[in-house]
Amino acid sequence: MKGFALVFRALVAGPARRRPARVVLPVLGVAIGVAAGAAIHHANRSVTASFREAASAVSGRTDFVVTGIAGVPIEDLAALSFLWRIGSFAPAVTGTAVLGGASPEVVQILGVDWGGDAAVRDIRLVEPAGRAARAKLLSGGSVLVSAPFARRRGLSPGKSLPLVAGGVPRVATVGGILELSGVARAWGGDILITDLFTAQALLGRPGRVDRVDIVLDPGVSRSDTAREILRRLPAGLTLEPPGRAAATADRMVRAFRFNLNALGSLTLLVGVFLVANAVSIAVLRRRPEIATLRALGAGRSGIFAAFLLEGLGIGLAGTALGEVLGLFASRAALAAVGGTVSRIYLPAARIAGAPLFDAMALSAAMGIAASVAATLWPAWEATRVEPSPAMRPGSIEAAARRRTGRRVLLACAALAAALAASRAPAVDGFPLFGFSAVGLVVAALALAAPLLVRLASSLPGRFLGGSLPAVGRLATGFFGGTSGRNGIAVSALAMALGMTLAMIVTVASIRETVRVWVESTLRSDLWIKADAGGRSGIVGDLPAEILPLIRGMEGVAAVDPFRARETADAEGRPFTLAAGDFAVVARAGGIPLLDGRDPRRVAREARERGEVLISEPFARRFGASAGSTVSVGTEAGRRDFKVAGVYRDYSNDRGTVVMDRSLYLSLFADPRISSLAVLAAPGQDTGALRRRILAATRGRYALSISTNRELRREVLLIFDRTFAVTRALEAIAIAVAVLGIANALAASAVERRRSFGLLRAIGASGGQIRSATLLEALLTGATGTLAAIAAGAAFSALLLGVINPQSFGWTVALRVPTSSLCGAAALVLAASVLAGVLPGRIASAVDPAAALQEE
Amino acid sequence: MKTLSRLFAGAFFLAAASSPVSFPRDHGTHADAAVEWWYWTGHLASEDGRAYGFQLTFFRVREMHLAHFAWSDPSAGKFAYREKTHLGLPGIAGASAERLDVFNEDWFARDREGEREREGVQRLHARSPEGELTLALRAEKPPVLHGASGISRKGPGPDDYSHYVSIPRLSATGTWIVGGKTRQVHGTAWFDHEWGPGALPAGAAGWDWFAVQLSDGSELMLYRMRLAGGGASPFSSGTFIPASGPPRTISWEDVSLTARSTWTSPHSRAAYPSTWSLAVRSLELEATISPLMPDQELSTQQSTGVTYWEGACRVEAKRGGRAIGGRAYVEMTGYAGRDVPGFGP
Repeated sequence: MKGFALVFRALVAGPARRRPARVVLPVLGVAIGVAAGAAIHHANRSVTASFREAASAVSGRTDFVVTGIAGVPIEDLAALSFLWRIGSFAPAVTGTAVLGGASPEVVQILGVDWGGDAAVRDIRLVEPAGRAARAKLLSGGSVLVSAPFARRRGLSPGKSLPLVAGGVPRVATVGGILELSGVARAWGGDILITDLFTAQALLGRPGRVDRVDIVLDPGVSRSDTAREILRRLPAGLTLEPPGRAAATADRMVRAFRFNLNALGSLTLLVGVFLVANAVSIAVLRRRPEIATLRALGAGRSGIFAAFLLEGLGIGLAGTALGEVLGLFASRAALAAVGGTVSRIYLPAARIAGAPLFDAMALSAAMGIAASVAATLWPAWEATRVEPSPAMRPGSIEAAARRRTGRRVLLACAALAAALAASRAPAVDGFPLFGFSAVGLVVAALALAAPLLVRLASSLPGRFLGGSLPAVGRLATGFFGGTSGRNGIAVSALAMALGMTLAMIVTVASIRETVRVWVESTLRSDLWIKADAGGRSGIVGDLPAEILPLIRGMEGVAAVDPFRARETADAEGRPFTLAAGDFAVVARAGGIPLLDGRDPRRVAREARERGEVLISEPFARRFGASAGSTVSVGTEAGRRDFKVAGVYRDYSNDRGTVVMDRSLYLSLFADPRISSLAVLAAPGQDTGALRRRILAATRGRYALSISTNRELRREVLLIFDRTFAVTRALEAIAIAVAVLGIANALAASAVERRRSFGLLRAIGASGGQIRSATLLEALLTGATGTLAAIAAGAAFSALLLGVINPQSFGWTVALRVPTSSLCGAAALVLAASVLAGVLPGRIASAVDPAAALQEE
Repeated sequence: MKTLSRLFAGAFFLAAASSPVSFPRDHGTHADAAVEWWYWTGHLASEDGRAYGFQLTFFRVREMHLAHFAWSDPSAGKFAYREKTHLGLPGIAGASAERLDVFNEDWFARDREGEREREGVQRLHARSPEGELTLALRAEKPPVLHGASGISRKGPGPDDYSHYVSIPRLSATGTWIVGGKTRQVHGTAWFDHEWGPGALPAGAAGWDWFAVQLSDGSELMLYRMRLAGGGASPFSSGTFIPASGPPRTISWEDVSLTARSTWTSPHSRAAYPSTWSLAVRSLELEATISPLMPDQELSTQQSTGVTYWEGACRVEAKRGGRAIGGRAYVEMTGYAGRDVPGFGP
């Protein structure tokens, strides 16, 4: 034990005390990785937990939920009355409303069977307390609100609560205040609970409920009862386990969440490379000490443990710092991620922060484990040091060189595996092999990096031969001489920059594709939806009677009522069923078909033949194509429809089946409208038309109307906001990688003190040595950048060709934004040269006499 | 103000009286009435001679449907009750507007079993963890309209009334199933159906209601509205149904009613009269009404929110000097603190 203490002090503690600055960078790298990991993991967990929490709060003790695409007709409840002998059932009406005022917000509405609902959900009143006051809750029009919600909006029993539900202004009365427990927990308490009839009136949906929750008595066979329910239920209604809603919501944002996770892991990976870098530098630097200690009788295991402890120390310090940073970062990440989810996927979703502890613990474990893992290889290298020949620096490089052949072979194997993985299909709609391919490319990069470094260092000499100036020869010598260590720096940089370049290409390609798509799709002049409190998405639907009102207005040429409902196929895979007026499409087009046929003709024929159009993501996910049939659960049972064509769609990654409105109305008693597209008459000023519509509907309806240009701008704005988080993560990864170059160079400079001294002694000037170091930095940066471009191309191909189509189902036209790519590369090159400034200064400041003495 | 309300009351009275009650339509629900209830009470005996009492009530308060089922087993000293609350929804709770057909979950009361059965036999069904009751009730007397043309005044206000119909004697046969064991039961039941605005008159503290079935084939319904200051409201009244012949209204001046003892509920701490002495002078009737068991209190926190005593009683009486027997169901409300029944607007 005493011996180990000596080894540890000589190899780790002593150097760290003498030069604490050297461990700062890896600690910082780990810290940033841990912080980013914790923040992203926390944000993702919060999203999932919010969905699950909301679903479980609303589902309560439910065993099954009965739902229908357009709700459950109230008279169909009679089919369930046999359940009273073996359990109970509780119908509920769900919907959303917008509360106005200075800060509009979206709330959920839940209408239940008062009294009977207690079998399923817990609703606990805190106010009013008296029985007489509670009896008044029985009167229609009053809603219950959660205590935090009431506090935030200054509500108390008896107060009126103006709201907009389905585009119609209404006034509810606050009947009571609920404890934040049971169902009131859903969406963090942003929920209005009322009786079923009041909810139907508020939402304008008489005669229907949205779900029926079924709770069975203990001991009753779930499967037998499920069969019996299905036998008795009218066709078109489905029976689901209660978790389905949460699973569906979670699935909607799964691809988005996974991309974030992947980027967060990238940051940590770069941090881990920094640790490996730092420890291998330490091993190299301390080879003489290791050899001496070995000569003095220190065992291999002691040396291994000492370096492992160093890695652990760096990991612990970095993780501790990262956790502190993570506290702040997670707040920002939660706001950004939650905002994106509610803007794009589920407008009414309120993402509440999950407990931080899990994310913190997980990222801490990852940070420490990764740091230790990163140390394993350098520490093993240290044990290979033999007592005598290692007294001279650099011999580890000789050992490394001998293994080159094996590394190249492994790198080739990794690339081959990546190629194979990129051909594999998605696993359960998830691009598992695509992401594996990315990991394999990263591995190949790390394996091939030392070879690249040596190749890069020999190139200038080979091309320029004798004309290469002395400084250049020096620099290439420096660079190639430490290919092992520089290889780590280069691969870290190549990985971070390559991923960034790939993201730049991917984002630019998708953005351009979406822009072109929006141009060709958004043909209408005005777009009308129910007031959504300033949100981009759809909150609530419009009553059907608005259709003739708008259609009959002066200056309106045509109106296309759009209806979209979430549904699922027989296996429970979610998709969107939509309806539009194909007669309007037949006139105006606006549905770009994959095969380039004229959408007007296809829409006209589909309308006549009762066929449907499907979106590209639907075609991919469900393996459908033009001419095949799709099955849709209608109120008259499942029905097959022939696919007339596949259209491009980037608005929804679940996939959409769209049919003519008249066909939809013959299948579903669901005349409400999600949004209305208005074509103005020729020569009609759209601004004036909007004012006219707003004036004509004021008081009766609360509408949000966008012009064509506003809508296009909004689509791109949403797009850019979605990728804002991505950008922040890329910037962090690059910064960490550049720090890695600075670290590697500084370490080399310190290590080469003796060579510098020798060089100075034989006549090299301080300026020449500084230039050589700067040149080395440039070479490192350039090699890294070149490798990054290769890696970036591979990553782009995987992202656009494999991961994106598999997770979103979108065809994206490749677009290479040369200027941003060059900008990023130039920035990294400049940063790497800057990273050579400090090492250059160290190198040139070497006192030749002292250095020679050391030699 | 008072004159105005009396005028109003008069106008309403006329309007209400002008629509005659007819059956089976008026055994069904009346959507224009805010409050409505269908009430069955009865005395049953199993083949081994064991006596039971039951109460099954379906309430409707606007769109809310509530139900109470109580089962008294005096020989075991057991009293149990269940309650249900729902909005009126298909398959969940509701009432037909055409005929007697009211249900709450799987409890129901109908005037026929299937579509083809002749009307007139009431079918009752209720289930609780204590047991499952299924009864067929055959009316032994035609429906009785209480008050003037079936309108029972409860107080001076325009809304202080209800439409009140009873079938005072039905023969009951059926089953009581406990733990998979079926017992044949038979006995006598009483049916009440009331609908109206439902407000408790101003100044009222609660009521005592008696449904007495005497062994001479006659029945007596008595209804005492207690005032907050003590004493009976002048709107307290009753109806006597002789063994044969038309029913007649009993005015409260004709009645003397005194509680002989009290019972304090261990659940609600309310003190209820326990044994009554009743005399109706014009009928030469003197009776002692005593509960088959003291604790027949319902505290219906999950439905109406009202705590009341409703129980099976035995009757020892003298009619014109002749000793007769009888059975009764008694309901006492408004004894548990300020716990006043009735649903205010």
